[in-house]
Amino acid sequence: MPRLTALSWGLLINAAEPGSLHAMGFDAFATAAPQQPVFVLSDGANGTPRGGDFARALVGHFLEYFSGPVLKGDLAPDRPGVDLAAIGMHLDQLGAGLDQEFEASAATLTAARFFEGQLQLLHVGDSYVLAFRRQPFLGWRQATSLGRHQDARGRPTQLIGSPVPVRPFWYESTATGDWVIALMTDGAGDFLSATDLLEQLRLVGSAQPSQEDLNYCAQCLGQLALSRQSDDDISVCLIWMRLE
Amino acid sequence: MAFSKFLKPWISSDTAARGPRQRAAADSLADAIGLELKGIVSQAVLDTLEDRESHYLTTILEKSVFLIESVVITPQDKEAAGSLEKFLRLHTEIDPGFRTQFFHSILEKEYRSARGASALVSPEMQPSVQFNEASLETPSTEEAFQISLRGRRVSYAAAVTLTGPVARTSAPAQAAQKAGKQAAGQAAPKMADADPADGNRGEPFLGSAGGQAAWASKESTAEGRMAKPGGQPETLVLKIHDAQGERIVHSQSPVLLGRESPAGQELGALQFVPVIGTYVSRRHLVIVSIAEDTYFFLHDAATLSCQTANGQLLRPGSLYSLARNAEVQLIFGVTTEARSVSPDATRAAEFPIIEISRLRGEHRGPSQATPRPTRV
Repeated sequence: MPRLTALSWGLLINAAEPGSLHAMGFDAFATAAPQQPVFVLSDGANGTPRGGDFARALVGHFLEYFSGPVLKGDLAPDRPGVDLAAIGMHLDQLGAGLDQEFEASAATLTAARFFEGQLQLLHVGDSYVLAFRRQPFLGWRQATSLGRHQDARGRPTQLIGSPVPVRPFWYESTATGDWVIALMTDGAGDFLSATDLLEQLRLVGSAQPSQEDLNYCAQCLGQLALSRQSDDDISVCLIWMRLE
Repeated sequence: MAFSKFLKPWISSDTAARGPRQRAAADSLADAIGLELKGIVSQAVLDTLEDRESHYLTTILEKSVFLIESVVITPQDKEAAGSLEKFLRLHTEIDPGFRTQFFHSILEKEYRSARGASALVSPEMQPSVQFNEASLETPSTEEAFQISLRGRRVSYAAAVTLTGPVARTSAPAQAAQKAGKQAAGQAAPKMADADPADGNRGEPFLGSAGGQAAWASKESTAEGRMAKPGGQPETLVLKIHDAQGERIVHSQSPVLLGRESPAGQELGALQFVPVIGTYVSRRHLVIVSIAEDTYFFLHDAATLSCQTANGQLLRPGSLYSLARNAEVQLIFGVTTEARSVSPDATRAAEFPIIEISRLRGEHRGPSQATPRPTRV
C-alpha cells in the first residue's frame, strides 16, 4: 500500500480584477494539512442570495466528513471501495441542512485527499479537478481531469444545496510517484488549459516544492486567468504529494 | 563623482554665490552620503533577497523577480541624522521632487544574488528616512572607536521589504499597469495584459460550453469602431430613465453618455447618447464592446460618478467589465459623499438610471451569474 512521504500545497483564493462586477469573494477553502492531507475548495453560486456564505460553511462541514473513513466504513460497510450513491446521499443531506441556514443558495465542491493508501478526488458542479503525475523520463503528465456538471449553455446541472440529487465525479489511484492535484474554481479553470498547468509543473520538475513555490505557481496561473479577462473569483489550489 | 554630478543643478544654484570652497564642500557631502547610502541599501537588498530566495526552487527564481516595495533608511547617530536631514531639506526646498529622484538614483535597476534571484525596484516603491532613538544620540568615544575598528564608521542602516516573486514576463506589465494607475489625468484606463498575442490564444480552454475566454480584438471597422470577430458591429441596448422619462436606445459601440455632445472632432468614433438629469456630467461614461465583452469607464472629464445597483461606486480611471449576456444598472450622479443611492425611477430627473446590455439579433444568452440548478 502506498504511503505519503512528502506533502506541500499552495493556494490562491478569491483573486479578481479590481473593479470586477462579478468577483465577490464567493470561493472558500479549507484544509486539515499538515495533520491530514485533506483539501476542500468550493465556489458559491453568485446567482444565489448567499452563495459565498454557503460555500464557506460547506468547506468546513465537508472537511470534517472527508477527513474520516465515512466513505465506505459508515455509509457502505458491506461494499468494497467507495459507494458514490452513498456519498451523493450524504451531500444531499448536507446541502439540505445548509439550505435551512442559507436559503436558496448553492455551491460547487472539489476535494482531494490521501486516505488509506489511496489518492482520492471528488467533484460536484462546474469547478475543475485535475491530477498530474510525474513519470520517469517523460516528466509531468496529466493523469485525469474529473468531469463537470454543466449543461450546453455553461450552467451547472448539479450543485450542493440545489434540489437536484448529487452524483459526484470520483477518481482514486494507488499509483506511486509524485502527484500534483489542481483544484480550481471556474474563474480560473475556464481561462486555463492543461498546458498552462504543465508549464508551471515544469518549474517544479523532480524537486520537492515548498509551499512558497506552489503559492508562486498558483499566483502565476491566477495572473494568466486575469490576463485572459476572467471576471470571476479566481481560486487555485495546487497540492503536491510524493507517494512511495 | 556621480552623486555630486546628479546634484549639480541644485547645488550650483545654492552654492555658486558662496565660492568654490563651499561648492566643493557641498559636492563632497553629496558624494559621501550618496555612496554610503548606495552601499547600505545594496547590502540590505541582497540580505533580504538571500533570505527570501532560500524558500524557492532555482527554476522558479530564474523565471521570476522580487519587487522592492520599500526602503527605510535610519541614521545611526546624531551627526549622520543631522547631515542627511539638512541635505534632504535644503534640496527639497529647491525642488520638491528631489527626494524621490535622489533615492531612485541610489538604487540599482536590478539586484542579483549569487543563487540567481533578482530584485527590481517596484514603481510603487516609497523610500523613507526614519529616525529612531540612536539617530538622536551622539556616540561616546568608546562606541565610535568600536564601530570604526574595521576602518569605516557605520552611519546608516537600511531595511528593505520585498514582495513577490512574480513571473519575470509579467513584471514589466505589472509595473506599467501600476505606473499607469499612478499617472494623474489618465486617458482611457488600460486593461491588464489584455493583448491576445501572448502565445496561448490558440490553446483549448478547460471550460466547455460556458467556459470560453473572450479575447480583446484590435480589429476595427472603417469607422474606427471595435468590431466582433465576425465583423458585425456590436449593438448596445441602453434603457434610460432620466428627466425625459423612459426610453430604449440602440447604439453602436463605442458610446459616450453625458449631458452635452462634444464637438465633432472631439467625439471621434464615439456615438453620443444624451442623458438628461441634474447630476450628469457633460461627458460622463464611455461604453466599449470588444469581441465578446463590454467594458465601461468614467470619462476623464466626468466630475460625477455612477453607482451599480448593488452599491458599487465606479472609480475614475478604473475599467469595469460587463460579462457576456449580462446587464448592469447604473445610477448616474452619485459621488463618494452621497453613496448608496437606491435605484428610484421617481428621482430619475436628478439621478438618471441607465441599464446597459447587448443585443445579438434576437438571441439573449444566459446571465453570467451562476444560477442554482433546478430539478427537471
